[in-house]
Parts: sequence; structure tokens; C-alpha cells
Amino acid sequence: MTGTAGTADAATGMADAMLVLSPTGWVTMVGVIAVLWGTAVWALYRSLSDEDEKLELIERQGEMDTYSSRALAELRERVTANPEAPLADEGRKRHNECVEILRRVDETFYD
Amino acid sequence: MFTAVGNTSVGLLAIFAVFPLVFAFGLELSEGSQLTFVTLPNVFPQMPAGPFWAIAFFVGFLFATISTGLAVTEVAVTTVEEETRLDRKGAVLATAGVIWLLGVPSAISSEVFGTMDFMFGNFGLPLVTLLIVLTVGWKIGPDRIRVLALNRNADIHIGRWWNPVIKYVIPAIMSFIIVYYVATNVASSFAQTAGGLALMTVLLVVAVIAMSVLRRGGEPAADTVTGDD
Repeated sequence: MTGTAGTADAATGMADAMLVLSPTGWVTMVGVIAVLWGTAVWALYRSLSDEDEKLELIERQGEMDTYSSRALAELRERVTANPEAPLADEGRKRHNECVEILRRVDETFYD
Repeated sequence: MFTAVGNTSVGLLAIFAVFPLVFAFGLELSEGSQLTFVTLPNVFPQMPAGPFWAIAFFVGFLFATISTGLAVTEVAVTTVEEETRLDRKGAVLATAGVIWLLGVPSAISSEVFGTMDFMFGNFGLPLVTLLIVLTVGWKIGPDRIRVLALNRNADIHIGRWWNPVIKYVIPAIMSFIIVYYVATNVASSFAQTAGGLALMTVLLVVAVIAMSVLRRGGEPAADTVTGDD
């Protein structure tokens, strides 16, 4: 009897505790924590694994490509279209540096 | 990427996870730091699996503040490093030391903390963000920064959509936040609102004067664009 009463009290206590928040409140809390914690953990994992891969490439080859092919194309387009713009020299330097690295290295970071 | 995506996620997590609690327990959102550090620690134990929710919230809060702190401090560290003769280590120590000293009064008195939170949270951060975004968007040019620096060694490619966001969307949001806070607080706490705006103006003028003195004294870092992440 005591065991049954204890279980019933525990169940009532849990039900009361669950009523602290409405069902919508619980769904919001659980959903938000799952989705946003998931996104944050994914971002952290992806950042760290990318940095790890960059570090390994630099340790193996001494250097790595600095722009993706898409980013390099945009940089080339910008430098060609605005040869006299401020920072154009810096842009040319960075573009050429990346092209030379791509010629030298066997493995690239960007596909 | 973690700073951008992870920080935003955890910031949103803090907001959306706290709202149900605030409404369920009849708490005041305007409690600010009191809500986070005093009220919520008393609310979590009343919930089923309270320790779990408390850990999910406060660990997320810790990540959000650390990643924000690193990003915000980096702005000052880079500036100090470029404009003075200090090396990276010296610039980090100097910046972190000054921030620590400035934070001591807030750590000692919750009243000072509340006032500083009101002034810098409502006016300081939006104002600084607005100035940085206006500089990037309208003076340097968002596309130049995006192509040259942002996509260099980047984990994800930032496309052209970034340009109008920097040029129009964020300045509009920041301006709205500043105007909204002034409009909603000027009647209820005129002294704090006026004091906050005055303090931000003084800090801005002092910062501009300090930078021109530093630039005159050292090597100017003109036409320098960094951005390795």
C-alpha cells in the first residue's frame, strides 16, 4: 500500500511540476534548445575541424590556398574591373599569391 | 564561423528558452541582469529536470558571452596592435587589463552594473555597431571588404547578398534600436537616458582624439585590410 501511495504521490508531484509550464511552453523550450544548441554545436565542430584541416595542410606543405575558386574569381574580377581603386594593389598581391600557392601545392583546402 | 553562427544560435536560445519561463512565473523581462543572475537561478529548481535546463541555459550563456567577448575585444586588440608599438601579446594584455579595470566598479556594485548595462547595452553597443557598419558600408565599401578580406581563408563563402545587408539593413536596425530606446526610456528615466547619450558622445569624441594623437605619433596603418577568417 505504502509503495503504491508513494508512486501515486510521485506521479502527482511530477504532473504538478510539469504544469509549471504550459504544453506550448515546454514545446518551445525543448524545440529551441534542440535546434539552437544543435546549430551552435555543428558550427563549433565545423569550425574546429576546418581549422584542424588547415593546420595539417600547413604542417605538411608549409602553405595552403587562401581563397576558394569562387572567391578567387570574384577577386580577379574586382581587381580587373577596378585597377586604380584603393586597395587594388593589395587585391592583386593577394590574388597572385593564391595563384602561385595553387601551382606549388599538391593538396588544396578548397575544392 | 562559430562566432557568427554559434554565438547567434546561443543568443537566440537564451531569448526563446527564457520567454516561456518569464511568462509562466510572472517575471519581469525588464529586470535585465537581475533576471539572469538572481531570478532564473531560483526558477530552474522549481522545474522538472531543473538542473538540465539550468545547465543548458547557463552553459549556452557562457559560450555566447565568451565568443562575443573575444570578438569585441579583438577589435580593440587589432587597433592597439596596429596603431602602437605593442606586439600582439602586449596589445592583448593592455586591452584586457583596461577592460578588467573598467569592469571592477560593475563587479563590486550591482547598481553600477545596472546603470552601465543600461547605458552601454541600450546605446553604446548599437552606436558602435552603427559606426563600424557605416564605415564598412559607406566609406570602405562592403564588396571590397567581402572580396578581399572576408572570403580569405574563410570556412564558408560569403556572397553578394552581404553587401546590401551591411549597407542598408544593419544600419536601419541599429538606428531603430537607438531611437526606440531613447523614445521608450526618456520619459521614465530621463537622467539615465540623457546620461547614457552624453557618455557615449564623450567617449566617441575622446576615442577620435586619442586615435588622431596615436596616428600622429606612430606609423599609420593606411590601406591595410586584414581578415584571415
